[in-house]
Amino acid sequence: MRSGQSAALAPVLQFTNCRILRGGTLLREDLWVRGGRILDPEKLFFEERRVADEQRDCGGRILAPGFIDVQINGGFGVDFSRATEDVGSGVALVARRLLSHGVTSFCPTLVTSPPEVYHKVLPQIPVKSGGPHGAGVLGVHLEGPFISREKRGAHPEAYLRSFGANAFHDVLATYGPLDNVCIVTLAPELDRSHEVIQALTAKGIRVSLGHSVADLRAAEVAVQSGATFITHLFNAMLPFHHRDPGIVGLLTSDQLPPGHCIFYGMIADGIHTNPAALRIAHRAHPQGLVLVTDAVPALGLGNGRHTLGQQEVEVDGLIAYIAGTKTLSGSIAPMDVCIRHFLQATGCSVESALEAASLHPAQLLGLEKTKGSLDFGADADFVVLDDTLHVQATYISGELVWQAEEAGL
Amino acid sequence: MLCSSRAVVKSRRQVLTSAILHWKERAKKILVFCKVLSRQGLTPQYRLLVVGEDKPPNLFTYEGGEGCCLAERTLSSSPVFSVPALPLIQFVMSTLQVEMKLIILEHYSQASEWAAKYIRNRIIQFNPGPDKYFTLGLPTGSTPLGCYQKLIEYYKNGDLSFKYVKTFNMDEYVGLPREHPESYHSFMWNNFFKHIDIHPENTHILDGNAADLQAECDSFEEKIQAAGGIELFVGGIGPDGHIAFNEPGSSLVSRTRVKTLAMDTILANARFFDGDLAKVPTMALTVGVGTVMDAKEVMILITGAHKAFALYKAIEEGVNHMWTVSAFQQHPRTVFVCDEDATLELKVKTVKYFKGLMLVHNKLVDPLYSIKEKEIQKSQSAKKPYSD
Repeated sequence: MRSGQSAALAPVLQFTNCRILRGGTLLREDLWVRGGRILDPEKLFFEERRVADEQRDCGGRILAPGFIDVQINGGFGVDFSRATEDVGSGVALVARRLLSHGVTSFCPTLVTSPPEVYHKVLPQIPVKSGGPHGAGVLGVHLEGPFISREKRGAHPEAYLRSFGANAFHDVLATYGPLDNVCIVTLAPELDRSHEVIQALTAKGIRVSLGHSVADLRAAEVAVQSGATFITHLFNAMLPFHHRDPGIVGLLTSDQLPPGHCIFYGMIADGIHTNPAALRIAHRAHPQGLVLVTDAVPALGLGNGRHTLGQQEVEVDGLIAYIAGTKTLSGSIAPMDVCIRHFLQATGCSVESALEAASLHPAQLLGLEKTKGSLDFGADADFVVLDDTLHVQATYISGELVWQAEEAGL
Repeated sequence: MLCSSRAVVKSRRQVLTSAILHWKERAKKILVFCKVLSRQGLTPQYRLLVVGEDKPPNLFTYEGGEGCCLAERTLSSSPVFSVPALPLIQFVMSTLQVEMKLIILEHYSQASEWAAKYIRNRIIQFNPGPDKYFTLGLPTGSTPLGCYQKLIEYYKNGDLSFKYVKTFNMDEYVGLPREHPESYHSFMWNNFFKHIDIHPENTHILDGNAADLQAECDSFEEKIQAAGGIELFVGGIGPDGHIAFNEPGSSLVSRTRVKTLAMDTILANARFFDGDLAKVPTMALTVGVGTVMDAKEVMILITGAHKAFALYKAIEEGVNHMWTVSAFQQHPRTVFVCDEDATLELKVKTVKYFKGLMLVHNKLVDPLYSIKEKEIQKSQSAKKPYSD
């Protein structure tokens, strides 16, 4: 009650002259914010008989829900999977720098690591609200080590694991407490994976299928056990085959529980997924598409040669090579770039492109009431975009946390 | 056929009587007289019957407003006054405007625009301020939508402000949640209020969810009284000639009250409630015919062929409680704004007569005032002491 009263006394902010993304369409509507949340102005008008305390002219720009990146391994020189005493400051640095890309919350992602890394790092990345200090942390995404040896990609083979007789116990022994975890990527073809999927799902953790050689049947069983996500579709899984479409087949499977929407991550940086593949996925199942960056520590470092841990990386535009080679070292396209590329590559609507980076990840995490939408009552996390979807400003809880120099908001 | 408020009539008469005495001396006195009336806040329409010695009588109509510029301009440009000697000029005492106006425009969009211009001019001429609010009665429904859109456009262009306007809505369903998309609260919010600068405190819509519905109606009447009555009540009508929810058979002196909806209305409304009759509200709160009659001025929008019979009943037949809108034949200042389609049931004679008057009636919206000009005038008059 007390918090309700103080919220009612908080100033009302009205963003005018804008197009807001609501209900899947860009509407010529004003956005009203109070106490960090989106406000229903009609209720304010008729019940409280109040008007806005402050109006901000958005110059006709687009207001969209803040972007949510559910798979990001690091950036700006920071590697989340590196066990140090001060993981927190690294996460904070990334969180702050992500604001300029319109990301208002994210899931720091740890790749396959030895148990001691998980034990040391996980407690240092608590769930945290966003603000002027940076994007919010929704929970950690654990990618591996329970993944396929053949489809491990860049994950270190030495640390891969499978489930023992007491499968979930193995999981806990590997990771330690799961309080800060919100997504686990695993390969469903591993023995006893369904037990683990059920146990993780029961704890409210989303299970994602990836780095796997599972056929469609195994993938469907995993979804029936509770899995809801596919980690970077097409990458690190069996290629689509018409007699066994593999995990990709989940997009159009008729064996999923009724009303169940399967989500799938896509790296739309223009390098990791061919535009035709993007279009195939998008046209087959647009509601489930979640844009992820899967960014590596070289994200945001600029062109040239960088030393990241033991690795030398050469950055050239949106491509990061292992120095001296033409081997890709991971994605370094920030979220706003991915959205623009996705829009251009698929020819989808602006609305769909924006929802793929906001509403869909929020739905995946079960946070659609507060994140990923501009519905009344949701958190006022949003981005101000020009018509070409370049980020002009970022707001978290109704507070301006970043703006482009020329934005003037 | 006189104004409902007798006190006003009396004071007008006194002014007019004295004006006739002066009048016999010089034509210019008309201007003085117009100014006197305007200063007293009266805006009647004058009819001057000007009879020259060697000319047939000329009938000249003047619609007065705030200030007298229109009068001066029109009178001085009238050839009648160039007649040097005017001993036989008679001042016709039909000076109180007791006639109905029928404005006929070609299409819905022109009718909507005309109505919006009229409201705009009325508000600006009234010169509302912090201690002088313009009170506006408002309808819902599809007919006024175009008019609202124009008013919003005027506001957005900076020509009109609703800062000192108080609004009173005609009606609201009983028992429908306020936030229901078909509630008249939602309608007003989505189609008008959210686009303009009106203060929520100045809008009044009946609460169909009030615990005591009759008390809600009574307090609505009191609020209208407290606001000094309605300056201009804008309304639409149903195909059965109902104004607000004053369905056929409503008393023509009715006040704001709870009303059971006619079956026709419920059926017509079903399309807004998934075609499910069970979901359509069966009762509503509505202002009475008497409530609207008390307004200083009433403007009724009627468009579309399906309203043609209602318009015929409204103006060509007698006052009848089965066509409640016909009550406004007895209102001293009523403007019906319609499109061609709505005139389909009228006599050719009626239509021609009113079309013939369009030149005169269009003076109501031409010139079109803007608060921008007012501001310029203000700033100019403020500068004057320095330039002189």
